[in-house]
Amino acid sequence: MATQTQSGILPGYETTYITRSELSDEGLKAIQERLNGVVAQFGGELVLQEDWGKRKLAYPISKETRGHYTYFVYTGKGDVVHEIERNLRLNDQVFRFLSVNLEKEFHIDGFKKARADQQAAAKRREEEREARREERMAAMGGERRPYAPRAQSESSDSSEE
Amino acid sequence: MAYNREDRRDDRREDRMDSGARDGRDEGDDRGSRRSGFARKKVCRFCSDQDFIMDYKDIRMMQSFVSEHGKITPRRISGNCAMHQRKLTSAVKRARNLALVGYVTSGH
Repeated sequence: MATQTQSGILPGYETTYITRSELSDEGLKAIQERLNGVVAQFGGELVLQEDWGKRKLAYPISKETRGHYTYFVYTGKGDVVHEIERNLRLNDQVFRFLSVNLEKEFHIDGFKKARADQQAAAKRREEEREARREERMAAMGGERRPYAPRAQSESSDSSEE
Repeated sequence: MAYNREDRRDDRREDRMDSGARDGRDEGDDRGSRRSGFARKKVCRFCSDQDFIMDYKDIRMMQSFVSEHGKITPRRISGNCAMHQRKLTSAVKRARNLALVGYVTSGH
């Protein structure tokens, strides 16, 4: 296995970092470009970059209650993660980050495929949940009808929603 | 409750000494039948549903295994298998680090 990793397949990592919500788009872009430069410097490839947007933090971090999340997946040899984290630490707009080692031998196509499958499954589950909710609403409306004929208009409204 | 359980275990040990051969299977059956009266056997949701994937970025998934105070639900309640519970705890802890899920709070 060790020989295979030396044969050219690089390990994959993912990093999520939170920047201050007041940070401008240009500022964020500058950070992203800097990190991309680091990845390139270590012979890696940026596989995926995702902007989760601004969200409320579950608890305040350094007096911030909101933060802008950015998530990216990359490959690279040696100390990429170390260098990326060093860069993030230097930037005072970034107040939290987390890097995860994904795989020792990272196959980009495989990862993208797995991710697409995962998202499709999540979507399907969401739809199922939606369907179940509607069913429940309909069932509730159906039960209510014989007991309270006046509620009929209400229940028909809720089933439309 | 704890007392009772200990007593029972003691009884059983005596039984085993008396009758000689009383294997673990017997005990298991006994417990199962007693339990089936009021509780259903729980199955690990991650094992039963291949699409249900552990991910520290999936907040919705995480929240179904976390109490309102932010505590991770124990295995005996969530029904997870040991492997998935282990993965779940690390996923929740990662999410906590990123402020996606809160740390344990005792309330306001």
